[in-house]
Parts: sequence; C-alpha cells; structure tokens
Amino acid sequence: MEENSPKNSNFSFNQNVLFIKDRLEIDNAAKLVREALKRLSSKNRPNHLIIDLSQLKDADSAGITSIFYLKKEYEKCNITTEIKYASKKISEKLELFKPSNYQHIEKNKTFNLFYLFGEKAYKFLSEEIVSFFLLIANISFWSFTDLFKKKQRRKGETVNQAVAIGVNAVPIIVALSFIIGLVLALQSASQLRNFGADIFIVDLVVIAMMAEMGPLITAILVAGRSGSAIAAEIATMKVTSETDALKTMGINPLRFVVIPKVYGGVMTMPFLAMIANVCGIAGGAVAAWAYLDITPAMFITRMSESIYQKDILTGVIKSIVFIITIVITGTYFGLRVKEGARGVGIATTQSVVAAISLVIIADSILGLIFY
Amino acid sequence: MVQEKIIEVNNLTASFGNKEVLKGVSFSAYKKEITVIIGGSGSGKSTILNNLLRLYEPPANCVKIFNRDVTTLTEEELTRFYIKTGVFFQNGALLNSLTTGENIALNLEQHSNLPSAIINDIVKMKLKLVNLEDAFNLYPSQLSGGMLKRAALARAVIMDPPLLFCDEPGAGLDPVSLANLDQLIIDLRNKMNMTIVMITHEVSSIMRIADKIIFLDKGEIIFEGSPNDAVKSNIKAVEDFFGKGRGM
Ligand SMILES: Nc1ncnc2c1ncn2[C@@H]1O[C@H](COP(=O)(O)OP(=O)(O)OP(=O)(O)O)[C@@H](O)[C@H]1O
Ligand SMILES: [Mg+2]
Repeated sequence: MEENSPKNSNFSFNQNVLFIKDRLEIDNAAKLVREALKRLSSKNRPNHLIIDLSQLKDADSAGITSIFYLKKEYEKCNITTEIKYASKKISEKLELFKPSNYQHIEKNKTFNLFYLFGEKAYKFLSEEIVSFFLLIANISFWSFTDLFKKKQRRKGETVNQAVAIGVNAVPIIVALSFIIGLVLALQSASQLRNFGADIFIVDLVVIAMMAEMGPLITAILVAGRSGSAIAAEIATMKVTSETDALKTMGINPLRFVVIPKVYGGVMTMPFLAMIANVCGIAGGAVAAWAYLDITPAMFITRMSESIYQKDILTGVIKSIVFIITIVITGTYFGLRVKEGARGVGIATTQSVVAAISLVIIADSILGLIFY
Repeated sequence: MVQEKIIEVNNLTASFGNKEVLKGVSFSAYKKEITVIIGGSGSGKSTILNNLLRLYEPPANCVKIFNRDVTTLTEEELTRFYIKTGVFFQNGALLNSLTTGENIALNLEQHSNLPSAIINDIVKMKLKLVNLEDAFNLYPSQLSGGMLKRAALARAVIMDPPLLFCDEPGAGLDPVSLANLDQLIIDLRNKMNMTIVMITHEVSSIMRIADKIIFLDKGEIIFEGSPNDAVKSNIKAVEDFFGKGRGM
C-alpha cells in the first residue's frame, strides 16, 4: 500500500511509483521536492521510478520544473525515471516548460587575498596610472587651447560652473573655517598662557590659517561637494551614452563638460581660500578676545606684522593646484564607470576619497617646495 | 459562456499639472484575452498602464482589477496583487547591479520557499523560452537592446502571473525574434490562461495576437474592436495606423 505519504499531501510513493495529484504549484512544489530527495538517500530506494501524473490536474512552471528537477536528480543516482500518464493539458505544459540544459557558472565566492591584491596592484600600475596621466595631459592641453577658442563650450557654462563650485560653497566654508579658527585658538591659548606668550596667539592663528588650513579646508570641502558632483555627472552621462551622443555630434565631451569646470573652479577657488582665511582668523580673534583678553584692535595691529606676502601667494597657488586635482580626479573616476546605477555610486565614492588623498599629498609636496 | 472581466476601467482621467493626458477612458479586459492598446506616441498608453498598476494614484472607482477597486487595496493586498501581476516595463527596468539570472530569480526568491536549485532551473527554463540561455551570468549592461527586452519578458512571467502587462515588448526586435515572442505570448495565454494587456506599435504583431484593440488618440479611445474591424473601421487615424504600418 501507500507508504511515506504525509497526510493531506498531493503526492504519495508506492514502491517505484511517485503519484502526484491535484495541483503542483509554486506554493507546494518545495515540499514534494524535499520529500522525494529524502527518499533518494534512504536505503529502500528503487532503481526505476515512474512519476505518475494521471491524477495531476494543474501545474505551473515551478511545478513542472520541480518534476523535471526530480527526474534529473534521480537519474544522477542511476535511477531511470519516466514521466507518465500526463493529461493533454499537463503534457502541453511539460512541452512548454521543458528544462534548459544550459550550465550556468556559479559565482566565484571564494577568493584568494594575495591573488586579488596582486592582480589589483598590477592592474593599477599598468592601466590606471597611464590613463590618469593621459587624462591630465588632455585636460591641460584643452584648458590652455580653449582659453583662446570659445567654440565647444556652451555660452555661460563657465559662469554656471563658477557659481556651482565656488559661490554656492561660500556659506559652508564661512561657517566651518570660523569654527576651526576658533577651536585652533582655544586649544593653543592655555598653552601659550603658561609661557606668558599670549600675544603669539595671533601669529599662530594667522600663519596656520594662511599657509595651511585655509586652502586645505576649502579643498576638502570642495572635494566633497563638487568633486563628487563632477564624478556623478560624468558617470551618469557615460552610463546613459550621453558622452557618446556628444562625440557623434562632433563635440569633445572633455571640452564640453570638463573644461568649463576647470575654468569655473580656478576662477573661484583662490577667493574661497581667502574667505576661509579671513573667517578662520576672525574665529581666532574671537577666541583670543574671550580667553586671553586680546582686543580686536590689538589683534589687528599684531596681525599686520605676522602676515607675509609669500603666504598669501602660496595660498593662491595651492588652491589652484587643489581645484585642478579635484576636477581631474572627478573626471577620471566618472569616465571609468562601468555598469549602471551602481557604477555611478562607486565612481562617486572613489572620486571623493581619491580627491581628498591627492589634495593632501599635493599639499605636502607644495609645503616642501614653499617652505 | 459569459467571460470573466479581469480589468474594468471606467471613465479614467489623468493629468500632469494642468495638462490632461487621459480624458475619461473606459474599457474592459477579459480573462484569457490579449488586449492591445495602440495609439500615437504620447497619447497616454504608458499612463494608462501606470494607473492600472497603481504606480500613479487613479481616482477612486475608476479601475477595477480582479473585481477590486485598486485604490482600496491595503499595502499587503497590493503586494499580493503585484505578485499575481507580471509587468514588462517600456525600458526593461532590469536591476543593473544583478546578473540577468539574479534579476529573474529575484521574485521567486522573495515570494516562494523553493530551494535555490529549482529556482535556478526555473530561471534557466524561462530564459530558454525567450531564447536567451547564455545571458544567465551576464549583467544587463552587457546585453543588447533586443536581449534586454527578452530578459525583461522572462522576468515578467517568472511567477506565471494570471495577468501580464507589457509596454512595447516587441520594439527593436528583428522580425524573427518578434514572431517567436508573439508565439510565446500566445502559448502563455493558451496554456496558462493568462490575461494579457499589451502596448505595441508593431502592426504585424497586432494582427497575429490581438483579440481586441483599443486605439488611443490624445487621451481618448477612438476605436475598440478586433484587428479585422480596425482595418476597415472608416476612422482615419486608425486606418492610417494600419495602412502606413503595412507600407501601403
Ligand atoms: N511624469 C510626467 N510628467 C509630466 N508629463 C508626463 C509624465 N509622464 C507622461 N507625461 C505626458 O503624458 C503624455 C502621455 O505619456 P505616455 O507616456 O502615457 O505616452 P505613450 O502613449 O506611452 O507614448 P509612447 O508610445 O511614446 O511610449 C505625454 O504627453 C507626456 O508628455
Ligand atoms: Mg509609453
């Protein structure tokens, strides 16, 4: 008689026959497969199996696939399997939902750390560095040439970019550099007071801001704001074939999209750095007044003695180098994007990380040169 | 035999801002029928679909599907409605971060308790139906336009939905692939009792598969009937559509 047939189920085993009845669909197919596979590993397994579908009234593609799956699994264990007695309706579905023999490749989930690292390093050196320098050359060339040619840029685009990269960043730069100046002065004030060197707080704040912090804070903020935006914009254009469309219209995407950003950035970045300097020093002055009783008047008198023209010039040069670094990095990661929406996200993240790192590296190199 | 109404649309209106895109559209789609919505570009076809699917919020009492006003569905009922409904989006809308196989498997993984070996077999079988088995491990960005369409169709029918919506599945396919696709849609209808609502511009495909045509012009239905009636309907826009489409 029937053995191994759970109550109320739509299938039963009898010797070497598997009866399936009523309906076999997405919600009850899993149970059949589980039970049937369990039988496969038991001792009294048959060496010939008939899957009897005479009582099966309806099935969907999941059900049909499960039947074929069982046949496949049984045959792997050398049990010959036949699917029999299907009604016309079920036969039609067996025909329509025939299994595919395609062997898919399981995704490689194990990975070797050393191999991965080695491959990445090799790829980095051989491809990325080369293309990065090519891009730098390209952008430098076109930035210079396009100074004298208006073509290939949309009218007003440079100004738009100056506003987007520079003007819109003013509020956040004012706020943050003021706070940093304030904190810088507060932290040093007690130390200086111990030595009775109160007035040198002015030199400390002014030199720190002008020579180092002002341009650097600005660059880091701009990298976060505009570097990411540049990478996302260019990556999206690449993914949606907009860059290809530009090319086929005879327009160089670099000149059309990137060069205005270079100009807009170079035009505004030095001013942003100056604003950061002024606000940072103002923050320092407030702290000095509140904590060390140095009045603003004293602060300003002392300041005029501690400012060097060289520091102002250094700041300007630094911020120009920084903005060019940011634009090039954003462009590079934007152009490198591979697939779809996720690629855009990756490109954006990478570009911000790389831009900030490169800015800091450039800062230390320039620091050594101008020291 | 009285046919079962699967979709009943009653005086459906839609507008964007103050632009009226649908001006009171009414039609029904019956079980096991292939209803084809046609009409010029921008006439509001995709908008109808979006309203039926409640991707846009239609006015109350306008859209009844499976005998329910879709605006009254609760969150949970809506999920069940979506599981029962296959959708083929005009631009494919496969997830770019997943392979084709993973894209198609997604619905089964989320809404069934089948073991993954079977899910893989189902996915491969559905890919075989659309003749696209080798795309299993490829990402959507690695597929051609026509391959994307077919992958999207495989995804739409993965759950054997009783109701299938297709927005221009045939656009951009070569004539042979198009005929195969039509045959598949007819097979699904015949063997799985699917009700299908399809938007298409391909005249050859319309003649092959449509049970009923709904012709939309600037947000209004100007013709409703069988393909044969459409050809001799004496409505200029409709006759132009078929005449020009056949190259006459
Ligand atoms: N999100 C939206 N915002 C504003 N207007 C829209 C929006 N979506 C569609 N429209 C307008 O609604 C009208 C109908 O658009 P719909 O996408 O339904 O056209 P369609 O018939 O599907 O055309 P096609 O055959 O080109 O796909 C168009 O005029 C379009 O401009
Ligand atoms: Mg459309």
